[in-house]
Amino acid sequence: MKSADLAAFLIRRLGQAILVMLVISLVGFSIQDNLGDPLRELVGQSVSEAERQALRDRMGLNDPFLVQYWRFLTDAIQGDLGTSYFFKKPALEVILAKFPATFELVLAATFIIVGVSVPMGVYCAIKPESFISRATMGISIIGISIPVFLTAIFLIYIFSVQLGWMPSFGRGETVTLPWGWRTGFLTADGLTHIVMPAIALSSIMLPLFIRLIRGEMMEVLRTEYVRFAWAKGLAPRRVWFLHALKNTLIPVISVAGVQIGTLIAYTILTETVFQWPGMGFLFLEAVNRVDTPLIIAYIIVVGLIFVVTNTIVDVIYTLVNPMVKIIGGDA
Amino acid sequence: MSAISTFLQSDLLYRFRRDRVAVVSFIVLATFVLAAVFAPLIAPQNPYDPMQIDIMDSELPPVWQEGGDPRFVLGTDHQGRGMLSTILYGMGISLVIGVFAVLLQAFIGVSIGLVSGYMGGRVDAFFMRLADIQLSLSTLMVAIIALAVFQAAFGNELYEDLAIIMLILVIGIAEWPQYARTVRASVLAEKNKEYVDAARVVGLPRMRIMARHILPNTLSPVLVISTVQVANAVISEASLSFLGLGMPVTQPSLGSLIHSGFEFIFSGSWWITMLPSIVLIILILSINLLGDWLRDALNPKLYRDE
Repeated sequence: MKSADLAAFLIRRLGQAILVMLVISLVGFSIQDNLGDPLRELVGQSVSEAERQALRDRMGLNDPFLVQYWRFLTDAIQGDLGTSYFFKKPALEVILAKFPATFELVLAATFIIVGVSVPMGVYCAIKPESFISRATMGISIIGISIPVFLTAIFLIYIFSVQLGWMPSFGRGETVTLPWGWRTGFLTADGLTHIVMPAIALSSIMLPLFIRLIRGEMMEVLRTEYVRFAWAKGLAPRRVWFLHALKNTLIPVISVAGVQIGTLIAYTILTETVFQWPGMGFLFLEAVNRVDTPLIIAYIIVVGLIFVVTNTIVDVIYTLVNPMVKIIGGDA
Repeated sequence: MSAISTFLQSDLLYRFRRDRVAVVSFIVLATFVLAAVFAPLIAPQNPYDPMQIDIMDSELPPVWQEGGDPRFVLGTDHQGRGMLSTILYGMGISLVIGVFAVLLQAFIGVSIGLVSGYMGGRVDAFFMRLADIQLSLSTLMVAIIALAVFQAAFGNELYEDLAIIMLILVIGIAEWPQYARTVRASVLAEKNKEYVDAARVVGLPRMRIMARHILPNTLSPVLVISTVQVANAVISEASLSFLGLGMPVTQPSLGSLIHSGFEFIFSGSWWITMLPSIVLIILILSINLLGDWLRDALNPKLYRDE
């Protein structure tokens, strides 16, 4: 791939990311515009109509749409997403304080997904007729059919209510790292608390990835170059893991990118069931309290996370896969 | 008569009868659907009628447990509604939302897929880019945000009346790319075949070629994904209702039943949450298993991807 093509691709991909972000910010702004009256939150009912109008003018609420949107945008870029009605603190600050909890939950779930789906998927592809493969495929369709929140509820019912082995809510004991990040990974209590939420969150993706990896791997194993590798007399391990698995993972990366949005959506469900103090749980509380600035801040932050990760995955996919042709790279 | 006898002798029915999993799933699903349709006739109570509910009956366990009441075979919830009745009615609501949402998805997606595939060029590029973005945003995320905003904007009372329509609209609009992509792929395969050329040479209008000539030949993959889509729509509805963004407690779907019963598993009243959960899982599983079978039966090419 020529470096000029690569640069053109990166610029176009970046442009697309910015475009999506603009659309998300427009959604956020129109919510702010239509949902709740900031004036009422500020002054209550007792102020006269004339004073209200004066205040509206001063706050710029009577400005044309584009002027207001531009102000919203410039504020947002500087990190000002308004003040939460409920917490009386900057909305961005409130959201970011909850970010570590959600991030650690997603990280733990990702470990489970990768750690289980790669070996299982590969095994099912190598030995498709074995009992374990058949059982895995059978169980995976059951797994797809159980919504995330039900996995979570069943885990709580069995391991917390019936057996009393596991905690059913919260993050447990956390340690604050020097840069202000509260982690649950460093205490035994924190680790016990994350087990069930992480399993619940990974449960919906696991069957999907096992099936995907199995399918891709079986296809790769039928290709010429793998047959050639066998013919050279290479050790099975080498053929499976070095030759075949590498090329299996390329389509898996692109699917993983598409699934990031879904994973974030499922954190809302998981966090609600386990009362996990993360961004998703906060968002639902904000919805119930009609805390508009917080709702908007969540949409913008989550939108940003999703656009950034999607762009990175896309770029990695393009760099890793020698077969991707950058269409219109010369333009 | 001939249509029925053709069906009876068809390959499809023969394969269906030989597949035990498919037969069992079909029987389970058919039973559930019939039970939901005839819920007003077979349910012991009407859970929407406050006259038939007595708060004194609340949180009774199922009959096989100590303290069970023979009037409520599966026990009662915290408002004194019989679980059997609420589950039957709730299943109906879940299925109605699932089916209508998928009809909407199919309508939007098939139309866009046909136009996109047949016209090609800029139109195609535009719609497919839109589909990519829509898919990566995730249905559930879009639905959660849309419903959260509607709920906050309408206020709870108005929202309760509109919930069923909002759910159908949101789930229906969010998932159109699945259909659009499938149909587009089939259209691309069909549009250069001779019968389409013939129709074009005769001078038929484009709309007619798309709707009458190409569309019928793209329907079998549409049928295959429809089963999976219904299962997904039922899951989405349940998830949204569980978050309190879907059906209200006064008119519960399976998801909102699970939502309202969740807090009671800690106090020992497991049946309020567990029974609707089990029904929901069996319902989704039977649809998915039928979908799997249908895909293998109608689309031997896809078999290896299983």
